Amino acid sequence: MTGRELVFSHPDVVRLARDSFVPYAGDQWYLHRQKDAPGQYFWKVAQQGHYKDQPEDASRQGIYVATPDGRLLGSDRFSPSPERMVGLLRRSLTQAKQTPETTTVADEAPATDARYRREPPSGGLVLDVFTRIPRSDAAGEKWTPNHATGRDHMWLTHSEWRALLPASWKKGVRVAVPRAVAERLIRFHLVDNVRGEPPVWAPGEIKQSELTLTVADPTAGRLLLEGVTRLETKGSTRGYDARLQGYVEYDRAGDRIKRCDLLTWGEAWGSGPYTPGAPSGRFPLVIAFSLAGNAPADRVPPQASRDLTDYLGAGR
Amino acid sequence: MIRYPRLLLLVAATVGVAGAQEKSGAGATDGACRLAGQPVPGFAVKKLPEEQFRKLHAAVAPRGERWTEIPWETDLQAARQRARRERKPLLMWVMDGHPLGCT
Repeated sequence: MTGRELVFSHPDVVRLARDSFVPYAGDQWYLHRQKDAPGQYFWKVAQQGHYKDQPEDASRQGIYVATPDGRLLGSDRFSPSPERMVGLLRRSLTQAKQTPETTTVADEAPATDARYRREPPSGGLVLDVFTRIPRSDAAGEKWTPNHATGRDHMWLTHSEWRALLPASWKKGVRVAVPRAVAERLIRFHLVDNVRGEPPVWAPGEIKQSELTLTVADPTAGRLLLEGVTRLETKGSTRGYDARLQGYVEYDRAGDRIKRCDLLTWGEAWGSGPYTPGAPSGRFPLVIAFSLAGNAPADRVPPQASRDLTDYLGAGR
Repeated sequence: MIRYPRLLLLVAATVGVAGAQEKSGAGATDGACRLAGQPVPGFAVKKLPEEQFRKLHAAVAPRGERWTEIPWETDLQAARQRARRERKPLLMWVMDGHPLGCT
């Protein structure tokens, strides 16, 4: 979030990245492991870069500029400095002008390492998930990572979203939320990811979970989701007491979900090992879900889907 | 499962102690916080009127973020092919966790 908000929102960085480069963003956890053309390309570039002397299993995260055939033009570890980024980009452009063009990139899509392929489920739903820590009205507050917006996606398979539809569209009819959907929502998405990658909740950390889905407006195909959940680690080092409310609207003519707006609010506490610096004590945490669009960024897999079996299989 | 004296917080807010709490953290959880001008309910609020739901839901999603003006690719092979076609260098932002997601 620091990179998005402090570096890649700086006007000079935006202009350079947009006009002079082909920008790519990815998770090195996948690239480092996958044994296929993208993985081999990334490793080739990374082993010329700033972490080339690190042990093989160490992270290669950072910024790399390279030719399409894998010759490094510049690299740096990530720094929250737009000036440093502008310097790297300009030096890399100079280097590119001195580098002969010998690109050989196959047009056809290469076979990908299936273990690390993450595609939105066919016919399923992709939801944007945004997380915020609301602030007081105090003026002049300096930006901290707690001002950032946590971002993720939630995936539902085709059969899962269809299971949310009632057998009978009569007002007040209740639908049982599939356990896999409820557990995925709670364990993997009711998290404080405002400062980065948080731990997900273990099944035993769900202390309370009540979700009801009711037909609210049969004519509009509208369902109302309401609920409460209490999440707490052993020793109460972290937790989130949350209310849930949402509206799901089904377009019967088009056989599609046209609205899936969920909102949670409540009180969180504690930080994760990689997300220190949460506000002290209990603090408000708000999470909003809605249907995602079709941009490449909307295909970014859920963070928790690194363990795809646990992510899609949770609760089954 | 009340782990803190909610009543005490409420009393504190009425005598002005909540202001000090706001400085140390994100602010009181009694509804004093706002998001894009919208009041944020505390856990004690079980349900929101639909209009308030709509406004608060809209307030959570970010608007006008400049990094979204950059035409990011998320498929490395597609990015390489585009770089070749457009004769531009490839700028790779690679982190532990996806830079456009939960990082």
